[in-house]
Amino acid sequence: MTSLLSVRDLRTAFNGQTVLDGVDFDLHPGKTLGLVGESGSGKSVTALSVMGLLDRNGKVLPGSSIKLEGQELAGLSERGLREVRGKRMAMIFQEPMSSLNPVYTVGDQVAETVRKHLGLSRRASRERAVELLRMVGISAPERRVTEYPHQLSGGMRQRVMIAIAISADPALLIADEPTTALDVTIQGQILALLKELQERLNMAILMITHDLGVVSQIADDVAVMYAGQIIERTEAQRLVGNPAHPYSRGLLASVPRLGMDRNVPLPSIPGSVPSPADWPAGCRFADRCEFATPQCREKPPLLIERWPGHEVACDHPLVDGVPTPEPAREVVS
Amino acid sequence: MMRYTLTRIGSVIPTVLGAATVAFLLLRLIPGDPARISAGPTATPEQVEHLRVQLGLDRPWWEQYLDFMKNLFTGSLGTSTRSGNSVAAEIGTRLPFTIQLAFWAMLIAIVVGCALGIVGALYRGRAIDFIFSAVSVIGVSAPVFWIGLMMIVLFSVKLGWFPASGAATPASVVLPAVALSLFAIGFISRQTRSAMIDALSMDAVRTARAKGMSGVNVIGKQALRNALVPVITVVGLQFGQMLGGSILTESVFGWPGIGQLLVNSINNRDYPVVQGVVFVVAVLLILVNLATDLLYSAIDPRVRHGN
Ligand SMILES: Nc1ncnc2c1ncn2[C@@H]1O[C@H](COP(=O)(O)OP(=O)(O)OP(=O)(O)O)[C@@H](O)[C@H]1O
Ligand SMILES: [Mg+2]
Repeated sequence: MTSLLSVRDLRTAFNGQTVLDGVDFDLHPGKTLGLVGESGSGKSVTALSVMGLLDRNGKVLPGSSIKLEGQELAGLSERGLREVRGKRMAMIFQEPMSSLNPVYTVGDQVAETVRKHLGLSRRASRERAVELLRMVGISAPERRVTEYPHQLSGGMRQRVMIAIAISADPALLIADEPTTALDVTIQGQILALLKELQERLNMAILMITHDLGVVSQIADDVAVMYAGQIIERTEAQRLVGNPAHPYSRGLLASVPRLGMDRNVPLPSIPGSVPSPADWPAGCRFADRCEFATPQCREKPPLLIERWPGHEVACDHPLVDGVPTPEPAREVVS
Repeated sequence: MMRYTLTRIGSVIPTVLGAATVAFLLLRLIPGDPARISAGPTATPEQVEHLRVQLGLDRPWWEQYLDFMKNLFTGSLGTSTRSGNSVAAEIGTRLPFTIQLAFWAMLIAIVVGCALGIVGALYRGRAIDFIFSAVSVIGVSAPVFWIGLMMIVLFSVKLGWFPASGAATPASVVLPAVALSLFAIGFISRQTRSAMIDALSMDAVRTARAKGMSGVNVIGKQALRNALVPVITVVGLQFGQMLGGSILTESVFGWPGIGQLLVNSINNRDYPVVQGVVFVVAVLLILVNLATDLLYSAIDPRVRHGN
């Protein structure tokens, strides 16, 4: 299967400080890839690098490759990116409160995208905006188009953002923690909406989240990120059942599940993600890993396909929760 | 929108009445006998008494106050003790000059100030940003009488491009308007720069870029409109500053506006005129404030929806 989005050795730096250190992943048409990891692991920077939306002090380093439908985006000019953004790839953000412009009506903000990418007239794009709002489940869209963002709830605003994102029928939607700022009930509705739109529009989704519960609900594949790298990558169901990286297992253990004893506190991974300036030489997770050996701290592990369709960057990947003895570098090709 | 506008306009009435009261009280609260001072050092007691009756100062203060307010409603501001003309007429001949001067100065200040601020924000940290910041510091700190004199020396005495003084030709307004605008240019450009930097870092601006909007749209439509709200505040405040500044500017350039009238009437102790000018200037400020608030609500829907 040819991939829609193919990211290879993506390295991004802010003011000369590398924060993404060789990110690789593929996303296939119409599929969902969950990108998970704790705060500060580099998920948003990955998304913004793909979109070409980094702050002015951020740079995608030479040698990185970001291919969308075969077109290289790394190093593309702002003008070139503008033709792709909003049209072939779109993005929604974590903060629906501030992502819309407070001084324009939501109708304007949807219609403006339609006009830009589909070249419709003012009137036709207005009508299309109403249709799009209806598609994302906003009731009485004829009235809503004349309202301003502050008149809508958080969930509504995120729906408007989704309407904007799908307005030019993009092949890729990047969703950066789209439900984190919303109530739990609304979260479920938004995820269901994304799933429904994905099927209708055959759109691939890069779903960024630190919630593995979300991933198991919506994603086909998962990439786990840690300290600027992908450290495990496989099918969502397989990861949830058989995490091979101790970090992935730690993330899973911290997700509440039905039937758990509420009086027992959820286990959490001790410590926090090292900041880019403090990345250790060996395995970046070693300091927080209960299975770390002295060798782990010396040599960085490579992301290797250890089982068909299951890659992991750990020299002692877990099998049924037990680390394999060293050295376990047999490679399935 | 309509309701907000009407309530805001309605709130002007008590403010204007308050301004009239203050203008009335101002002259009665300063120490000394107005009739005595007004009549001048050489006046005889009879002349002083005559003036006192003419000014109505022999009557109880509340009667004077009611009279003053009653006259206001008929458009009368009293009579000048110096010229014998009605104060309204005196102000009427001068006010258009001041408004003309303030209008051009404000226009220059808004256009130049916003342009400097926007360019500074877009190129922040680069050489052009530092140059523009320096210009704004000079504009804010150079006193208008000094700048004014320098401009007269250079542009009228040396180069002969513009008249040095008076309001005889249309070109006469250029030098005073530019001199008066400098302070506001400095202020407005600083505010525009920082408001624009804030606006450019808004999530909504990132959304616009994610939508694939052009640079012109992102800067001119998405960011600028959000940056305008704080800029308008400063413009409104600068207008008040400008009316004050125009007193100095009018003196330097011999511009026959309300500022000169005020200075002359203070020198001549022409109480009714001073009182009238204070009132008219206060009303101008109130109207500018009103315009500022209505502009806000036109630009930012959150204001007119009351949150
Ligand atoms: N604009 C920026 N300037 C400098 N450093 C940045 C910038 N944005 C992100 N970083 C750094 O890049 C690293 C990765 O940040 P990123 O925002 O991608 O994390 P994340 O995985 O999205 O976390 P979260 O779950 O909190 O959103 C962090 O160390 C962060 O400090
Ligand atoms: Mg993030």
